[in-house]
Amino acid sequence: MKTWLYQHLYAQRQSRRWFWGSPLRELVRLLVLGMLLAAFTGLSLLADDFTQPPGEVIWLEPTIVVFMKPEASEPEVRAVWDTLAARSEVRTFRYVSRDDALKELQSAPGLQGALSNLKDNPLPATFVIRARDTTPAGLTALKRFLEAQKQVDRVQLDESWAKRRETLLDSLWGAAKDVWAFLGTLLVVLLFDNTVSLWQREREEALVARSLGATPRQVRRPFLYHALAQGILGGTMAGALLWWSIHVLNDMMPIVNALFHLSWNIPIPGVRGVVGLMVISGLANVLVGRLALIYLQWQQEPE
Amino acid sequence: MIVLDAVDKVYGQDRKPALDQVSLTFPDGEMTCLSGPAGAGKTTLLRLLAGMETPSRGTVTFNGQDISRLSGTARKGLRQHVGWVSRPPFLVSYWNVEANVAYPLRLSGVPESIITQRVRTAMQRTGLDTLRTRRAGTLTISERQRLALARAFVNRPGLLLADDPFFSLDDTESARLMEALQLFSLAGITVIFSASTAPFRVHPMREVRLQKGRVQQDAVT
Repeated sequence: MKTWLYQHLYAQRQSRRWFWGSPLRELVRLLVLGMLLAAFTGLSLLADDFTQPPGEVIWLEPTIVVFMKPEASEPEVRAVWDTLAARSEVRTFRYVSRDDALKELQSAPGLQGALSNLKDNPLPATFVIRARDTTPAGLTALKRFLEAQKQVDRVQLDESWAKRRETLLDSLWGAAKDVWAFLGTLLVVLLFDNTVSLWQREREEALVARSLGATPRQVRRPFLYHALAQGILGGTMAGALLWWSIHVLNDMMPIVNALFHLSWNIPIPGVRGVVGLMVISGLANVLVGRLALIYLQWQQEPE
Repeated sequence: MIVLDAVDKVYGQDRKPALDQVSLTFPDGEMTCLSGPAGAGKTTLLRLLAGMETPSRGTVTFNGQDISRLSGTARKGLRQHVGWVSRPPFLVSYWNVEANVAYPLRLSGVPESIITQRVRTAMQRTGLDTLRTRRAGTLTISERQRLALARAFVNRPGLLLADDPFFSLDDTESARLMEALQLFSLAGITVIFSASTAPFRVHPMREVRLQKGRVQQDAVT
């Protein structure tokens, strides 16, 4: 046990020596790793935020507006309310009574004079609905269901916008997935190359160790410790970069939000998120490093 | 004690024997020179003794244990007791002499306090104590050979094998190296080395002369 511990301590010392042996090269590699990881994780965070209901980009989402018949009584409107509340396809809905609709219209600039001459309120009560399934097919099905309801005058849905939106989102998703896959591949290649370069730099030590009867595991150990340390430090750098860039983006958000009537904020990864990133990055680096060592293993093994 | 009993070793498709019916016994603490021309089977014999190769026929026993029947782990354990000096010796050229000598101990997980002591002894025995801080890459061939010997000795092996350590050394350097080898032998280590011609010696020494994979002569000269 003691011997094993000493062997591990020596391997750690060896990896630290390699690290400080060429600090500039290591720093550049860490920066590249950090940036790639930050881009990879940042894209995942954005995509997640884009599709999850609380942060969804609502201005892109099509809405269904249900206009009630003017003669619809309060219990009949209430029945529609209850139906909407019970339907799982309906994510949220907002009721605008006839009076509220008139007030909204009266508050619009230039219409006050024209509306003051009206004897009766000509506006119908409406329900503004956001559906859970925002595909054209899902929206059309919900529209048909709503049209069949009693005392519903008509249902408005911009189907062409729903289709355009669907196509736009599909294209965006496809592009994001491609970029994500590209970044992921680039990350694996970088991690692989890190170990291969380290091996080429320090192969003399590794080959001497092998000629002295060191087991393959012993020879691999400092390389894997190096990969672990590099992964953890790369993860830390990625966390710091993400934190900084999301802060910068969120600082610009009030302007965007004011322009588009939004309340959108990208969530900043907390301590748990950053620690998770460090751990995952460390383990991934060890795994890819191990694969690189299998690839390299004893290609030029001395006799 | 190491015993080779009717050992054959053949390589390749032409099945040409590198060793042919070799039977030898190496008692503990004895120093032996394997001599013979190039291709006589000296290196093959050393590799068999180091456990790096297994015989095609016959047995090699190390203190009663048949090496070819040992498991992978047991063979690794055996290699811990064997000091191996290759030609040219593999050294970490950018490390100093001391770090090179200490390397096998550090790999084996020996505590630093013991390493310092053992490294000092090994360097004294090989006359390297004045070169402690010199980089291995700047050493002469003779100094490199002595460094490899010190490194092999530091692990306290029961058997020290050296493949042509006198190659390209002049008489003075050879004498210095021979002195170091004899010191190891006096310390109870079985020393077996190869040389194309038997080197200069002060004390009588066993010489096994090989020719085309066969033992041609086995005598103390």
